[in-house]
Amino acid sequence: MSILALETTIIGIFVSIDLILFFVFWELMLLPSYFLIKLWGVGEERQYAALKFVLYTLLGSVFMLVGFALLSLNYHQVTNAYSFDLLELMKVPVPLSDQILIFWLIFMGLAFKAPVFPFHTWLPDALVQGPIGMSVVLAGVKLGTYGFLRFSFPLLPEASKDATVVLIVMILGLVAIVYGAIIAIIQTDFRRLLVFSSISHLGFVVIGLFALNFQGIQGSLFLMINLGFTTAGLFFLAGFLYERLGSTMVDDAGGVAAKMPLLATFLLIIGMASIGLPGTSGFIGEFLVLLGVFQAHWLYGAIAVTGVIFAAVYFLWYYERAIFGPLGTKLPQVLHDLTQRETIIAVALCVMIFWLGLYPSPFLNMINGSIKEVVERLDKGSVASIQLDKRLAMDRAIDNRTVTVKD
Amino acid sequence: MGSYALLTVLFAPFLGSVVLLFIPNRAALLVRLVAAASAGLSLLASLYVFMTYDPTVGGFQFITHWPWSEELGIAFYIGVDGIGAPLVFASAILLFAGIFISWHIKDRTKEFYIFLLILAAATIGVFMSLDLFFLYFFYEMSVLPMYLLLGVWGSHTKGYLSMTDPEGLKLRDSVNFIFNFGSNSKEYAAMKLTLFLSAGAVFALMGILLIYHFSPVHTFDILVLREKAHFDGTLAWIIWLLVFFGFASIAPIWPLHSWSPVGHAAAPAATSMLHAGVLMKLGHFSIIRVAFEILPETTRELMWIPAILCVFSIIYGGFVSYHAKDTKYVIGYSSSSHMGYIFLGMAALDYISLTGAVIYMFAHALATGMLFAMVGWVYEQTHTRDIPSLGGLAQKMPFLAGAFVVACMASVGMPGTVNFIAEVMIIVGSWEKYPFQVVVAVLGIVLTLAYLFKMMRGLFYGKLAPEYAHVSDTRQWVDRLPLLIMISTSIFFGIFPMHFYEIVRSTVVPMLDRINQVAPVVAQNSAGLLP
Repeated sequence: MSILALETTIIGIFVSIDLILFFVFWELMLLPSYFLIKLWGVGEERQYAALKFVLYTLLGSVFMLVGFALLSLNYHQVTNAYSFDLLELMKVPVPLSDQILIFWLIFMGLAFKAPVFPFHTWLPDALVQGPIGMSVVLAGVKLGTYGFLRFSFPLLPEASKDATVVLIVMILGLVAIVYGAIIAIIQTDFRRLLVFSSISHLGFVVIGLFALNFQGIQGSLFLMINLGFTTAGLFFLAGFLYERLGSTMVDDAGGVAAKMPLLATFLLIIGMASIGLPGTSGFIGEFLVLLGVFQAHWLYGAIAVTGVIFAAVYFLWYYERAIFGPLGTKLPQVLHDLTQRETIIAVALCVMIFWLGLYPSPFLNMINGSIKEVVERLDKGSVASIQLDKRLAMDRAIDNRTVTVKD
Repeated sequence: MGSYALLTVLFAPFLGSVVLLFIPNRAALLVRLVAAASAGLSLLASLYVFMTYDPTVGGFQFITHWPWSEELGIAFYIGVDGIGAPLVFASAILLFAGIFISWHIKDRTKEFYIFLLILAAATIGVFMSLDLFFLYFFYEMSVLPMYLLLGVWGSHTKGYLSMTDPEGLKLRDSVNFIFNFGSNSKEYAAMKLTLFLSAGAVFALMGILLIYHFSPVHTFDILVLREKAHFDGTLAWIIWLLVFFGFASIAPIWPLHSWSPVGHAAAPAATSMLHAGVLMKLGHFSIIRVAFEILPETTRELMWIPAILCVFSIIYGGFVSYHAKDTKYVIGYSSSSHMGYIFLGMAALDYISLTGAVIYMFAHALATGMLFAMVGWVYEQTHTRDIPSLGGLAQKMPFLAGAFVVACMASVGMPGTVNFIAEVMIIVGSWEKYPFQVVVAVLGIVLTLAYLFKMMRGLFYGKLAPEYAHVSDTRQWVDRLPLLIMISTSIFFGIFPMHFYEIVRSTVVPMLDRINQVAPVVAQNSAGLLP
């Protein structure tokens, strides 16, 4: 029940166009998550992890609520009415100084949830202590970065373009990439490794978004979709491994490929997709993001590409030690390979990974229209695009009139 | 027909690796046969491509162009010119031979062949890519399987430090604080290789993205870029240096070479063959394909850099080989020394020397492939690579001892092997521009003779140690076939080089015309993208 409730709230977040509705779902999501970690968590410290998760996210949300309220107040000043409708709010320009304040307020909310680098400390606890099903959902679905695309960019284009803002967010993203990857290298627990790798990948998403150009945003969106398959898939497989070994530590595994060839194969395929092997979905996303970031500034790109190297290191090193290598001494006597149910999950994910990786055009075409709108709004700024809308509306009115005159 | 042949070369190994996924490891013979069949199909198709490439027409042939992402200007665009065709052929030969060389691998046979096939297919893919995106795509794809091939099926290099750097042993270990592997292990070699190569790939990627970003046309198509893109000033220098050193790290040129002998030594025999034979040529090839084609003027200005570095490659590699006591180190360092010849041939920017460099890539692939295959056999029989403890193996392995002489001759460049033609062309072609380097290169040949004969004497002649009384020669056809294929190819092209020469020349001449005089090349209609 809790996991269905969690899914409902997540879908609610993705489809809300009203800011208050969005916020309600955003907060509602905490309830099932809290109980999922607290009651069904697999770790020893699940109480602590559940509380930490809720407190951290709530802290961010408070800032976000203030930001939303300020937006509505601004709307009130112009039109004498209150509204939280995204489409209505987009029609009213916001002064630059307010924009930057509101941007940072909303940023706090999104950054805690995403999580962007310095706000990430709840994630290892929640994902390692929580049940596998919830880790899959939490790590696979990128709520925070979606929020930038949905609210920050359309509502606050000038603030999102502001040089200082971009610089700060870019640095946070780059630090996340490098820091997450380096921490991932030294992890001995596969699930902790995955957590830090997903922090590193989120850095890629963030810098792609704040490259503020078409390829960057396209790549980020594509990477978010890709992470939905790869990170989620790796957590699934980590869960399967955990069910069998009772742990995902390197020391407790070792040589399991001989006993569980299917699991080893799928782990390799999905892991390679996660670190961006060409031919899989991860490569396309990372490539597009790097392309976009390079166009923004070559230095950002130069730092970001190091993440690609580290990614290869942490995944391959763990894989080689835990899955190949000599047979571990602590392995249980009987090890079953993947069951039919588990194989179906893994195959489905692999199909998506290769489809996205080898023939991404359908997906790119689907997302291109919306990205173009976002980029246009970013380029022109809120005031100009509003005036453009007005002029278009006037033109249309004039057209209508001429038509009627002709009639 | 033609373009299907090229697609077969590329996709047969991929298909083979997919089929292998569904065969259980118990059916070991079936696994080997499937791998051999896919590699054989690839070899036949590549032979067809190589023999039917028309040197009178020149340019890129066997073209396939499938649009992939139009708004980014990426297309799956493959075809070979006179430089790609022989290298594709060499890769297919080495893959086929490598499958047979590793016929006796018992540990996870299926997975080994899957990775080997992917490695070779990705290498072949680079040699035929006409799109920068796919060039990088295949390049990156060829690096990652290497880690697992070395880390899982490799062998530890015992006493690596005491062989090369006895005093620095403690110092080196303290530098390794990040990856506390111990410097002798195969894991260390695998990680070093992955780090060097992916770092190189990343530099090259930066260069490629800069080309894409600053070119007037938004495309990754190399043929369009070489017509339309024009870079000058500092930007061109930055791009050229990124591309050159990014790709030269896999070549490997002198200061970036240190991953390569360690990697060769740790790798299983078939992987060493592919690695030294063709993977290292990815570097030279990609430099020719990207830097020579797209940045011709900068190439002319900056080619003195490899001309200087190649001297160190040749001398340093040669002397380390002479003193190394591990069989694979001798061949590994000799490879990195011989790569210096290719850089010298490229640096002179002369028709004869560049043609020689391309032929040398092919010739070296065969020669070093033979050497690694035979040393691999010796290791499999004796479980040691330590030259002083071996000796007298010729009594037990007469066939191998004979073949080894031929391989040494090929590696030295004896008349009658294709290496001779290549070396002579490099030396003659670059004499005018770089006489000093040519003198060094000639001394390097003498050095090659010295260390290879020293190793041959150490392995096959002298007194047979009693603990190796049980060793046996290559008796089965599966063990002899790969050696015979490589030897016969090397001698065949040594005696009948004309078709090969014409093919390479048909591509090298217009390319160098463009570099030396900046004359426009004959526009090849790139799938209708050019007017």
